[in-house]
Amino acid sequence: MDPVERLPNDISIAIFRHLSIHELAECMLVSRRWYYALDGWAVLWKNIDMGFHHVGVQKTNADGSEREETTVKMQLLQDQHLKVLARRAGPALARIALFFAPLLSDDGLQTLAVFGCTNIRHLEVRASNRISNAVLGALIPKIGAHLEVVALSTTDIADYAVQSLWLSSPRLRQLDLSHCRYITCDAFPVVGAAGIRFCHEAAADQQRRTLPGLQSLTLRCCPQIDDRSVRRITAAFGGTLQHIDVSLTRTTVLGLGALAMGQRAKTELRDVGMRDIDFGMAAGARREAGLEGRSLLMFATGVPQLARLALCGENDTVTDEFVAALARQCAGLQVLDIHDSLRVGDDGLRALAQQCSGLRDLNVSGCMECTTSGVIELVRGCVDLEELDLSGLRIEDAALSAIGDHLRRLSRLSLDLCWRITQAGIRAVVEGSNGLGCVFTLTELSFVQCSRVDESVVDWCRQRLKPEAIIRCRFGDV
Amino acid sequence: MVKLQSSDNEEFEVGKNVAVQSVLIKNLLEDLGESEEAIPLPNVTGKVLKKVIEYCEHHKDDPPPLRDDYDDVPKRSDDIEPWDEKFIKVDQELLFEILLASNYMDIKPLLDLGCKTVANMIRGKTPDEIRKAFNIVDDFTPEEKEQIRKENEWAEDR
Repeated sequence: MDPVERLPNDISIAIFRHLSIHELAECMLVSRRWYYALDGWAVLWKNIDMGFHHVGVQKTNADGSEREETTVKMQLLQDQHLKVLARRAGPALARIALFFAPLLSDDGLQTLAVFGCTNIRHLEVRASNRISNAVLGALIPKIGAHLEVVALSTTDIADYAVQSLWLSSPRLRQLDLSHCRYITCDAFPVVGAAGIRFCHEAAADQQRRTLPGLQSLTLRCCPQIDDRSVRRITAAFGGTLQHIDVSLTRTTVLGLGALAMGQRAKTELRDVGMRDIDFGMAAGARREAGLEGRSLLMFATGVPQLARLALCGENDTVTDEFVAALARQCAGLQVLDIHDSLRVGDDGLRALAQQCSGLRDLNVSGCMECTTSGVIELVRGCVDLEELDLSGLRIEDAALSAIGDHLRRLSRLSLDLCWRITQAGIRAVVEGSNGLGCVFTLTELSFVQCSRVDESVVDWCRQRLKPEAIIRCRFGDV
Repeated sequence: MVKLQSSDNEEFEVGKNVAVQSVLIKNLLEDLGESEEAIPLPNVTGKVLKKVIEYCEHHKDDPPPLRDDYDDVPKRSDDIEPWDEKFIKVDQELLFEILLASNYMDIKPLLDLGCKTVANMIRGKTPDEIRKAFNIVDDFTPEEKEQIRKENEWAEDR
């Protein structure tokens, strides 16, 4: 019995809303009745979600038997496809998620305005170089009034399109512009005493404007973003911003300091995702080290809510003094990644142990000053650690015994290149001194290129750890 | 206790906490007050009403359903509880009758369950298999099919 014929439209729509648009496309081939019904029910097409997906493929083995492999398929939405979908959804269109859209161009996006898709909340169009700054900038005032989440990473859009968002999308919460090479600091408004203006406007044009309450901003790998941009961002959105990622930009520690200064009064910054900051100082233009240090210390005092901080990369600006200040100010710190900080040692670890007992995830790999005694103090203070990366440290088996005895939740431990440890240390992690250790919680244990560890310990670990646990090891010359 | 009367004049007596899972009955009771008179349900046959009451009996202690207004992502339909799955394993005619009754009596969780079940009958099938499952006649010309395929080209190669 045909459900579309038998049931009232409300119920049929409720049924088809459980299906994706790909399943709906199959359904349209069932009968004329189904085709016209599905084509007309706009609400079914409100969510356009495409990108990578996994499919099972039957392959034949050498011996003739069959096995199933999953491969990744890509769907590349083209302009005429978006036109069909925009026509069906119309004002009901709420979400466009195109993870990989290299074939989509200006023409396709403009159909959104043609079919009155003015209620889009989530607009995600990544990896297209056929979207122009001018067209997108002019389109956003027409369709952008309800936008909340926007991701345009790896496109060639520039400042005008971003400015359009600030002016036309009052509900914007999340913006991802990573890998947008043309974005500069002029994408962000200048907040002055007299009001808010953009760089191309004369000072006399300053108007009373309100900016959206932006919570998350990703500018990863935007090569023109610098400290001035961070200062403008802080002035404009400091009151609401919770997450900012300016890794691999030209931002320096000074920008980081400015961020904290701007935050100090109004702070809610919980999640500063600064990874691999490119200090961006051309050779010979190195700033005074003391200034950088002060800037970092200022940062530490400006963000008491901070829960997650990644501030890594081979640098000598992150010091024990900074870690101590951070620990003192941010007792709620849960995740800290300061790997390859050459000037962090036992004093830093001790400060973390004393102040940040809630630390769950710590990466100090490559922090060459950290030694056995520092690690012992760390694990005595931070007993809730779940992930710990100690790769490349000169630690000895005593540190591993302390890990086995104190950490009850440790799930991932990395000891790669710790050339002083032996198989006795690995056993101490797994068994502890009382036979328990981390044996029930460990899901990943890595000791690649630890030359003093005997190979037999791998089988020994496999027998004791949970069957799904991953053990990574490789022996031989470094 | 509340009395319910089906379209074929069958009477059922159920506890109030069972009956009020139907928003229709809940509102009726609030407006009219409780009475000895049976509440007539002229759109529901005795066979279907019996099934609906069975569902309400089993779920009488459930917390009231949450409203899910924010629904940009397709709804899930793989989260059916074992009891419900067994309960809804009925022939298509009865399944559709239950859907109609739960819609009329405004029992959201039962309506959801029925919709999920039908959606699962459609999911992953070719158009041919769907036609077979619901006994639908293919009334397309080959040209029309080609036209629709072209329109939905984005869904190809899955």
